[in-house]
Amino acid sequence: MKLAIRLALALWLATAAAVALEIRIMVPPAGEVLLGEVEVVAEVIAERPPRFIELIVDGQSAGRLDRGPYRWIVDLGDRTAPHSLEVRGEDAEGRPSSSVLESPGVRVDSEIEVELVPLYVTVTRDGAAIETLERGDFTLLDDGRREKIVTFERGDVPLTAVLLLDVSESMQGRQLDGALAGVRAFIDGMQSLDQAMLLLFSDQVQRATPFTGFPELLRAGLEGVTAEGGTAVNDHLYLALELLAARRGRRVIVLLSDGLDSASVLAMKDVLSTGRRGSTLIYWLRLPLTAGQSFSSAWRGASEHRREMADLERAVRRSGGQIVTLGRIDEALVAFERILAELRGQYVLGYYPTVDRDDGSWHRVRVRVAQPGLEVRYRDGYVDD
Amino acid sequence: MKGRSVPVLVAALGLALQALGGPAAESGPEVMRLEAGRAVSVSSAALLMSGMSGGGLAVWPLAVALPSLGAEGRILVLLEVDLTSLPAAVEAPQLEAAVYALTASGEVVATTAVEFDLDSVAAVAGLQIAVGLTLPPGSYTLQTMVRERVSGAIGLAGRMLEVPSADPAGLAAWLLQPGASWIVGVADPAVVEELHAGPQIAAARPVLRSGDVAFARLLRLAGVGDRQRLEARIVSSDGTVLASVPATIAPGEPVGNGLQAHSVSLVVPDLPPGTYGLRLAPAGGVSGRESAEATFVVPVGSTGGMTAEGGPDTEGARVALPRSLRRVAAGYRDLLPSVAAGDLAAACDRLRALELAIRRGFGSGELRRFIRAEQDLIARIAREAPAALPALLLLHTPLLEQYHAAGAAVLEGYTVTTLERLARSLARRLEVPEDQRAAARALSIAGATLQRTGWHDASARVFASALALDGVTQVALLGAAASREKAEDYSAAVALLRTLVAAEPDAEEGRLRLALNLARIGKPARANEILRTLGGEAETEWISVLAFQELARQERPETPMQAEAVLRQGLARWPEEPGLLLQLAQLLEPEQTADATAALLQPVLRASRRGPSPRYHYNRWPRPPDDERGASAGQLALARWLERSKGTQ
Repeated sequence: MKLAIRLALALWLATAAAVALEIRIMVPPAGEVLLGEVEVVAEVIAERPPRFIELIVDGQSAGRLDRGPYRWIVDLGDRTAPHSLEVRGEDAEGRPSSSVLESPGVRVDSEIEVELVPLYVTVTRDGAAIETLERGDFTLLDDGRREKIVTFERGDVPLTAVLLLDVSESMQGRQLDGALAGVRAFIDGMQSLDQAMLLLFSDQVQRATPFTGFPELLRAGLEGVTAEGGTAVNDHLYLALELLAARRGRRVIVLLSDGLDSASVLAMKDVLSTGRRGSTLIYWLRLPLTAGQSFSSAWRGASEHRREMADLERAVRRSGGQIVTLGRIDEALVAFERILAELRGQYVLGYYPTVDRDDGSWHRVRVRVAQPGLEVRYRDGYVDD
Repeated sequence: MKGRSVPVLVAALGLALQALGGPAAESGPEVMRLEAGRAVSVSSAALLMSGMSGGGLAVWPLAVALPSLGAEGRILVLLEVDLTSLPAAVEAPQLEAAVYALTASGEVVATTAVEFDLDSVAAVAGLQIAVGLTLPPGSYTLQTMVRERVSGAIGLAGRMLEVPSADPAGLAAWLLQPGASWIVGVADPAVVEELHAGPQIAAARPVLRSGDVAFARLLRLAGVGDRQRLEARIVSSDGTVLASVPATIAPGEPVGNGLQAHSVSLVVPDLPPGTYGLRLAPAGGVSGRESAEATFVVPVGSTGGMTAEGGPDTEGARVALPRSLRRVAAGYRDLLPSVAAGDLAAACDRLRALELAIRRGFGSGELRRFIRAEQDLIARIAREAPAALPALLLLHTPLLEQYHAAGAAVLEGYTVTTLERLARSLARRLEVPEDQRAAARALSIAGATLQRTGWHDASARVFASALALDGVTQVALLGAAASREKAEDYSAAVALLRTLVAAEPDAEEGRLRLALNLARIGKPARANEILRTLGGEAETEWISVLAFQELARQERPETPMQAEAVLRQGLARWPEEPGLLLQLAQLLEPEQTADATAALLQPVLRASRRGPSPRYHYNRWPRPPDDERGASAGQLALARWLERSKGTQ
């Protein structure tokens, strides 16, 4: 009997020691595909407060907390890949414990890779949006071949945007205030599935937020901004295009700048070669050049500056976006609102190209509408790769 | 108020401070005990991880890594909150404060968070939140946040932090300020012992005036360097040491963890308004570790601001409009004694106010007569005391920048004309070599300002005048070459830069500019030879980076693989340099996935922490020299002329 009691006591002590710290991942639930911003919540059971509890995502630490509640938010990106979430910690005596959740990726059964080409089309008459067209009103040509429109959407297609704001020294004073007011208007108009990134630049990145659906994070990024430094429009337009290329969904860049580049390492032709590969819409809110602003720099003479400007204009138009020339910076707020309204009212035409060579060649796209007198804007082509 | 005050501890420290011979004891801060380890909200975590700084709430962090012989370093973090930045409606703030330590790759390695509620901020001079962290040696970014939960006001601030390896000679120092009527929330009682010294508390960003006696607190390992003399080095925002002043150190007292604390005092040298750093270091040229930099601010004096329309603000332009232009000319002469005495800032303010008042208060005819009267006086000085002209150059040069910034086009144009006339007079009239060299330096400053404000042709002419006086003034040669470059006259730029490099073979900027312009006139082989050398060997980062960038651009059309190799070589020397990454990403793009390119470009998003870009550096004027000797020579000559010409018109 005494032996039994001693054995039971020893077993109880061993069990108590073994479960001095118990960790369970409560959110997200097991078996769920994880992508984008994900909240992780862990329940920790311990006799005494643990030394720390840490979240490890795909082998990298995402944060350590000394006390509960044990909650983190992490961005797992846009790809539906498997992920490993490990919550680990040490109890008061330094003994480790952990809990792991492996999330699945998405199985792809089909071996045929035929990519649906989305085309975002804006239709207006005298500047006013036309939102009453149907699928049959559109004719779509790819390298001259008529294509069948497989998907047809209009309205609230979520967007992923980079708000690319020039905060160089030429933006000092009221220019900056007006620009920030416009960006705030865009942020306020975002909807729950939209995501945006703030990218403030001068001769280099001055401030950048992650892509987020939290308007609060974007608004915080606009606080305390100062205008200083040179202007590198080309470099940062390229950066925005590349960051968007890794995202899914309807990709948009809204650029506010006078366009005069004095500090970029890339030429606009380098940026154009990138823009041709993606389906990013570029809107340019164009500021008039400041009186007395020099057109020449150590990098480009006046004629070369003009060529760069023309290349930027061409890039915007070919993307299916628009150049909005602001007479005064006060107009920025309304301009941002109108861009958002236009994006909400765009048609999205999806089709599978008849000829899909995957050879990096350029496909010229044409869209016609049945009704006369309408202005139709869309991306003029895509790279087949 | 939540928390628990510790008056006994504060009183004890106050007595200790008196024993150390510090300032007379006065009441110190109220110290509130906080509990660390609170969880931050989801959105606050996102803000901290974003790496952003700013927000409506003004927060100044101070982070000090204490000397240690252990495997990990103890970091004291102080968040100083400017109460005036709290929304006016918030009388009883409920604060959440958090600190994240991130590695260079953005990984979070330490966090702490506290909550701090106050019943009232009435009669509170200032607010600090003090926490401690433990980190292994390495380089980190400390992201700090203070949020007022009711109003949602947020303040974010980031600081780079170096945690040194175990080093017995390590120093930790920070400035102090009076703590009366301050509230300090601490999560660890040891922090207040280490950070504060009784009535004086650690200051994240104190305001000091030239001539003030400033107090600092120094921590070092007990028994190390007890007899070592220290000096205080004042540095500018770009790290240039501006002054070294003696630091008086009181005997140390133990504060636990093997550390001892010293009270240090020093006199703040004469500094113009701005933000500066202070480091304590061994004095007398003795080698040894410096303390990390403590920040302080020298406040702005009354300089008289300008409105967007080019007029002075109401505070700055209290100039009585003169009744006659004879009096107007006398107004110009009246400020010359200030110039002669070296008070250029005050003289410049008065001249600006005078010219603006005439511009606004008189017609264009009167303005022309004023200009003529001013020019007549300058011409007289040029005839009778040409060595005084550099002082006038230094009077008018800042005006150009101010008028340019304010959009005052007429007065800007007039100032350009004045500067060019002064330059021509100097080039014609000075004969003494020492006067010529001093004038060349003053002209270089004027030329650089002209270039910066977009007056490229005028700057070229002023630089030419400088070179006529002293043909090997490096700044003038660089400036003249830059002027020619911007005017697309690359051959002329090459000629000037060859002169510079012949006189100063080690001038890195001159060699870089020569290489770039050689490439433009069709001599790429010679250009690339210079660029290869500069890329690998130049000590100045922006010059080396630009050399790699331009070499890669030269190589790319014919040999893209060689261009890639050049960019990787550059990145090996300057990891995560944004321009190099952009070039490399664009070069590799056809072969890389979108994800891979985006990953390569992630460090570019952190670019602002590095300082201005190399291409911006290059596009700017050459850095004008500190012209103390030139200015004083001109001022002396002007003073003598004023004495001689007393009573004459």
